[in-house]
Amino acid sequence: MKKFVIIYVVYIAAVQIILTFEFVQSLSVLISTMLASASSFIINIFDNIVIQQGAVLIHRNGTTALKVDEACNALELLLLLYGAILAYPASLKNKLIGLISCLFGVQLLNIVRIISLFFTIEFLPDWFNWTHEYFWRFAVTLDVIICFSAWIFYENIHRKQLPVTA
Amino acid sequence: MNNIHPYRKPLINLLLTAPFALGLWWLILQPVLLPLIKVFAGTFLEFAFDDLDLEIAAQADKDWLITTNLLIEPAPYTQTIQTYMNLTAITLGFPILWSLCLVFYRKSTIRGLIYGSGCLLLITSLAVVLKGIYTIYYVMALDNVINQYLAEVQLIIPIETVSGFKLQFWLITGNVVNYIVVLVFPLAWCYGANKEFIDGLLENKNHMYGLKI
Repeated sequence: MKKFVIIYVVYIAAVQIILTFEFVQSLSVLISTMLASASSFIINIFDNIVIQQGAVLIHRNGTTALKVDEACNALELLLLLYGAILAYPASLKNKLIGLISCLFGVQLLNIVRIISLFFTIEFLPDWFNWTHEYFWRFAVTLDVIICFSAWIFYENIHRKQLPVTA
Repeated sequence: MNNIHPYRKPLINLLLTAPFALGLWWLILQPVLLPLIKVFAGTFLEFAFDDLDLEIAAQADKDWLITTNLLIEPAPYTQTIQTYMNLTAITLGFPILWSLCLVFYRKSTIRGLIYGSGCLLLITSLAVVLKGIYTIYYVMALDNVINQYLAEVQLIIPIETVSGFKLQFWLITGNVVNYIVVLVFPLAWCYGANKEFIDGLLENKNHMYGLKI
């Protein structure tokens, strides 16, 4: 466990350095645009009210616009979660399952977050700051913890089925 | 609930306790948490930057700001510059710690909550200090800081414009401590509190690390 924590904290520092690289910031913009596309697609399934321009969602009546900023695409949290999965002693197959499932686990909630914030601006503008800064930050962080815990439980169940070698 | 798999129970309990923890955090944030952080972090920052007259204060009962009087060359006068730093968001580790404690603590939940919150308060103050140091260095490194201030442009820290090893060091250190405060410490504290349960999960994997738990 100590080794896991040490590896993980070093990994966090490395991620923070990597995040300052220009190509990572370009990737971050791309991820934000993809999240905006997915969010606008889902909203438009129910009611065709959103125009997407890059990472910006604009209401067709021109009253509301929401930009999915680089800090809002959960890339940092996802990289931190990936670090925990990679540092954890598990088989390569289970790690791959963890990486893919946690990607969906985090980004699906993030899409829900973006859609809800879009409608919060529309209907409850006074609550936007609170929901954006605090509620959703808390919820996404908790989601990361739940995704990691769920993966550990999955990994543990799966591992117990394998023969244990001394 | 008895039919639920034992691994799923903590996750469901976590979802149930999280809203209460978030509500409690919001309730005591302004009267308790932020003033305490102000005492710890403010004292250190004022000691480290005694010539800058630093102040941490609430802004319209919502966000807290670090305000500093910086003497910026070549300006021949002291200019007050408000540097925006969202202290509230850094305290989100508290509701996460409380949620995890309520779910995973078995032996002495109240003691765990109190001690854990105390330790987290100190680490959160450290994170505020590090972010404060970075913010101050960043402001001092700006070329046109007076013009920006006079134009009433709010100073938000754009990472891509920051240059120099010193700034990068403080930025990275501050961010790392930020994640430790919000994510790593609450998890580590609750691991320490319920070591037997989590070690039970890890027991088959210890040989991979060569650990003797």
